[in-house]
Amino acid sequence: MKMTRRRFLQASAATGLLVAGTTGLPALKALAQDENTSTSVEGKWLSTLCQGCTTWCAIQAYVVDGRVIKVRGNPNSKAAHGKTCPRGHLAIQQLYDPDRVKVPMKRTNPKKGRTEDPQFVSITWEEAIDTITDKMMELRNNNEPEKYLLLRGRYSGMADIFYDATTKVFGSPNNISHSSICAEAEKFGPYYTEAYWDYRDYDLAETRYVLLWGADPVASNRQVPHVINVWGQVLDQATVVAIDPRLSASAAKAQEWMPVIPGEDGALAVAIAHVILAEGLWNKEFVGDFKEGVNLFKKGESISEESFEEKRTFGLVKWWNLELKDRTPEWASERVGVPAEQIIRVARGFAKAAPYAISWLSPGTAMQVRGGYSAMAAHALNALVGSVENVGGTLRGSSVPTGKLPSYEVYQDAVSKKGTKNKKIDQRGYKEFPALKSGKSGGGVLTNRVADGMLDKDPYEIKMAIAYWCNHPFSCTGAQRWEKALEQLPFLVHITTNPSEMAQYADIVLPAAMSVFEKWSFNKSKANKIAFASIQQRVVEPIWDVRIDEGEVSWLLAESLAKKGFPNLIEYFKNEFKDPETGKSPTTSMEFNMFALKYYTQGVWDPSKEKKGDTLNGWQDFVDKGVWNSIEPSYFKNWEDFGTETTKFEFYSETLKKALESHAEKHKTNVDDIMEATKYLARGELAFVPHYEEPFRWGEASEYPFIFFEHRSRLNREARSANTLWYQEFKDVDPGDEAWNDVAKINPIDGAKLSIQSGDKIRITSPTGSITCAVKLWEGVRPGTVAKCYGQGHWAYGKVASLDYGKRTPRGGNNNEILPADWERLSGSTARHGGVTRIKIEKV
Amino acid sequence: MEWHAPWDIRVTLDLFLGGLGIGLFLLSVLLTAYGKNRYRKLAAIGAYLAPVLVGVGVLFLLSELGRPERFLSTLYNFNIQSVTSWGGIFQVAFMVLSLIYAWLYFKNNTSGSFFRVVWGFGTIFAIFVGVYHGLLLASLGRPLWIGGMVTALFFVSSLLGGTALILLIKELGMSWGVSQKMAKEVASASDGKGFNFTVLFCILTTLQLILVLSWQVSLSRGGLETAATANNMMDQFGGLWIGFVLLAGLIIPILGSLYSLIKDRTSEMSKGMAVVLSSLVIVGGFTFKYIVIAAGQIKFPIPF
Amino acid sequence: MARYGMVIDLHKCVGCGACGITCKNENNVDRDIFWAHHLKDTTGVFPNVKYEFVPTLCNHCDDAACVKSCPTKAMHKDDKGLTLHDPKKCIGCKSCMQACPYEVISFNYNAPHAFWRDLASVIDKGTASGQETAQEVGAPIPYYNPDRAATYEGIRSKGIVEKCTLCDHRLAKGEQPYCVDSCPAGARTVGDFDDSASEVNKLIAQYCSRQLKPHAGTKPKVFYIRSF
Repeated sequence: MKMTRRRFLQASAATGLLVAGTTGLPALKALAQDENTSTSVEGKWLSTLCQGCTTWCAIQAYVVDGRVIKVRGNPNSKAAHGKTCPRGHLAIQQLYDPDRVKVPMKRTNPKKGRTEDPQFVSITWEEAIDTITDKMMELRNNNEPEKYLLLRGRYSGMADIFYDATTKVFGSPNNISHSSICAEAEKFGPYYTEAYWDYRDYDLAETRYVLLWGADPVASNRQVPHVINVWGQVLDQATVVAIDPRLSASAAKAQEWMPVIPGEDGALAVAIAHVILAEGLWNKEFVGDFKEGVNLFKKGESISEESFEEKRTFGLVKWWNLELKDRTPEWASERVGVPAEQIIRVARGFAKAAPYAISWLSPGTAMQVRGGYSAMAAHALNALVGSVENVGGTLRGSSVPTGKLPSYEVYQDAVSKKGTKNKKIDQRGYKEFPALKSGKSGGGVLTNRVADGMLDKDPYEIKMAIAYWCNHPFSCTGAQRWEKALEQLPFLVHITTNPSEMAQYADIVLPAAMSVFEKWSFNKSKANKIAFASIQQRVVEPIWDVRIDEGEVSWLLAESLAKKGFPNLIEYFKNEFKDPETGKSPTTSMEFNMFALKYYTQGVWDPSKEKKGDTLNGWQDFVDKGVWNSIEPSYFKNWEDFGTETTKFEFYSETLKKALESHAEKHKTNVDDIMEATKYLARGELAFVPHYEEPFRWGEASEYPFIFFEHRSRLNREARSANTLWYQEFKDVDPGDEAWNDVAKINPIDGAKLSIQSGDKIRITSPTGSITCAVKLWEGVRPGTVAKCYGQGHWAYGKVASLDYGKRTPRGGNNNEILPADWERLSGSTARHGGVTRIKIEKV
Repeated sequence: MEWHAPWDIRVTLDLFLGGLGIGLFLLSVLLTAYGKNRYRKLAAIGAYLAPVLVGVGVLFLLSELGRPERFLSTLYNFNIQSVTSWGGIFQVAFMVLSLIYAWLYFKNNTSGSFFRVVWGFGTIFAIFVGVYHGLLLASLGRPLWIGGMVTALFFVSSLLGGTALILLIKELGMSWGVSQKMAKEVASASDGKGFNFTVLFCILTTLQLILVLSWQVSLSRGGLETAATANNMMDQFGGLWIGFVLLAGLIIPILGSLYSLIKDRTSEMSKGMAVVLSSLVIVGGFTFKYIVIAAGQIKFPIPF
Repeated sequence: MARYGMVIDLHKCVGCGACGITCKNENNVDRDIFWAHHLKDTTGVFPNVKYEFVPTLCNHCDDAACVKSCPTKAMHKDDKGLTLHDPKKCIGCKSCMQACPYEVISFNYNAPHAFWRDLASVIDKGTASGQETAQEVGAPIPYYNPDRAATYEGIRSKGIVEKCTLCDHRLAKGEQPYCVDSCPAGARTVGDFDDSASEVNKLIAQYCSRQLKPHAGTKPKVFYIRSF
């Protein structure tokens, strides 16, 4: 393959020179002219999966002569109508990024730091793996395998091989996912109301009213291509209200924009609930009604619980009495910064559209220090209008019959069994970090706490880490803590496509197969009422010496560990991941990867397996079609039993009460004390109902006069696309933003006060850090607030993303260096939204 | 990512030097008609310099082209609608005619019918080229250039430039390439009443001032886009425009020449004044063309 | 003779930029040159603010100013009513750029795609370079689209202009322009305005439509319906 390519090039180069010699034109043109005369080459559309955001769309790549030329949505995918958003196309430039790591490298400068040149030298895969397993064996030999840490970033459906099995068979409890740096708190809302710890789907085709809580679905996570495709129709048939401190892409298209003061979303949610109840607009079919048929919800008045008979819900009157009765639109207006009339109008409109009304929760409203209850409040609105699992409302997904990781328990030896029993480095389940995923104290991950755990050696020291497809010194708030933690980490392996910020601290850098086009794996997701599994396919032979992170690297480590006296992992792989078609045991890393993939996805491609969805004619059919689609989920599926403690949709969350009480019990204290430890203000019963909490902000208004908040870009491939030309050239498709630049969007009134103009360079300082970037005076943000997009400000990663890679000069500034590390502690989520910090601005 | 105007200073140089060239040529033609012998020396210098200036201008233009080697294709791929195409023909034709005209002057062969034919067609093509300069801009439809006045402005500016240049040559007594014999003839013929350069100078500067002012007024009433472009021109180049184009390039020369004429309407300006005012006019003329070409290319947001 | 043009439904458009990005992809367009781009505008005062996004491209004007101004007929109209550019005739005078009211013609000041001829690597022997990547892949740009060369220079050379051809190479094969295919909102429709039954004619009959700078008099054939 490579030979052919090179020969082709040599031939073209020769012609080029010849023509250049005679006409003085550059060789490139000659090549182009050559191609003018040749007939076009027939290519092939091959199915794969985009992982630019977590929509995880099934896409196809157009491959000509071993090159990826174009991308389109997979026409077989019902979830995305065969469409892809702009991110899919950027993936091509990510694949062919000139700054890709092409071979394994080792660090030769032992000193670590942002300004230290690691002095990487290229090594072989053998040497790299050998060095890594030496370190791993050292930990095992010292009986401290728990000091091994696996940091998982953008992962696939096969992640558990590396994330779970490899880590646990080796003997460490420390498999830490990136999940909670940009999600999780959002899931807290639906879980503690309807026991659903996941993203919802939405019945957009039937809806008549959409409340977007910080969600910007035409631009970012989740279901972007689907939403873009139907949005014109949604706007025709429904009222769309964008609740967002910034005039987002979706707000720009919405009928109403409610520019809430960052972090005050909860006040708006409870006020909308107040109006719906006080005006008798709730959905009687779902919620029930007063026994007497007369609405007793009157402003400021408590009522008796007996007076109301609930149907599918639990605790409505408690919620009213504890929280809602005083939450008038006028009260909310002062906090939220939008007129009471607008709140009333929206509440009425939303309720009158019932049940064809969606309250669409997003990380913006949830991932705030005190955002857990805002997430509950915003999601509870769906129950008030009866749109939960209803026509035109919010839906859960159908199931996708993919396989689970085979049990590895019998492959764990005494050392690994002892090791895995240790506490995790992310401090989950500590008193101040309940991380109550799915009701369990310490059930969720506290990704961004790992840096502190490592720095404080609490619960113990981490001696080595393998990180893949993550970039925590860039992507986590309080990014400087990660730099420090990684500086003092004795041994770091980074599996990455680019020399990222994290790679600067690595002892070994391993070149990763680019997920979209070079990786064999799969993923599942949902949109447009369809759950699906999509193949991720190596559509072109990689030009660099890369390996597939989860499948291949695990195998290579296992093989090497076996040579050094620990064969358990390779035995697990060989025994448990046989080719489902031939029964053959894997003998190479790629065989293992493929057998595992077939194993995981057998449920969807094997025609003999029962499933509710497409029927595929075997493995090759799955590879060719690329996607398996489920049937649409039925409405009202969980109306009889939502799976909560009370089986009902809980306005008073017995489920949360149980979780909080068991967490308190674990720490021998009470819920009030837990509330205090987790920075919440609620005491007593209030802790169990969705309620308003005054936003927590870092910094005093006297010193830091502006509220800072960040948002997402419709071109971000999770901050990996900033090194592509198209990202920079088109950065201005984010409303208010500029091409090739990183701008802080500031209202012109504040601009005048500060005597700054668009294009000026400013320094933004928060209590924990400082960055510089350009100014954009823009009416799309409220005076007193400053908005800035996440994604720019790379000081490494490549020549395009950074202004000067060698000098570590970023293009703009990374928001995570001014956002303090803080958490929505009940979910374990990083609190990056809701104006978590105040800032000051100086012209430089 | 910086936007740059499609045309840089090389296009200005073409239109400026080309303008001086055809201005000089037309002055040479005029002096030939007025008194072939009396102004033989000046007419000859004009004849020699005209193709040089136009030629140098064309060289600048060629270097501005992305593919200068294809320049001649404008002749065989001629586009009847394109002023640029016509311009190519005019410039080539003028170059040929003006070179013959200069050659005939050099050979002192200025009395035959061939000379008269060259003199006549040269005049026509000089005018064509002079008109083409402004017409080219007008044809492109950009707000600052639209409406036809730019054609008149550029043409008069060129005539004025030619006049100023010949005045300068006259006063500084330049006589490159002119034979001694010819110079003597000129000297002997220069006693009696002759062509009054100061009057022409005064008329052209006044005319140009009137044109410039009417243009500016019409711009300010020429619709949103035109007015915005004009405002932008003044924002960016206001100082240069008022100082060099209006004051130094037109008003002072008008006042100076008028003063001289009032003092004695039959005599010329003093040597010093003529040198200074002519220089000012030439500098003003260049500034004028430079600003109009640069400001005309300014990119404005497209209204929606 | 046909009159091909486009209707863009701004109500469906969400301003994502996929049209502009994929255009560069399809047509091998160099960095910072745009055949398809956008206008954007934020008006009003907080909180009553309106953001508008208008995708732009060559208007393939019936009375194209660029065609009129071109001294060598490099810029010309074809039998589909498209405004096309013959790179072999172009002398690089940029008159068309001056004449075009829409700023959609670009000039190649330098040899194109320097990014893919760059030799610099950020980590010596560890990371690739532009040139090395292009060489390994065996194409002038790794994702070079050879189809483009069917009707135009595959990559336009230094010293000439270039512009949108409404994907004449795709239209010739009965395909839609790539921006139309890759618009996730389905906001773009291409068709023949001379064909009374065409979708584009139906759309402009159904909605009131707008053109950019109609007063420029070039009779542009990109129509915008509804509002952003």
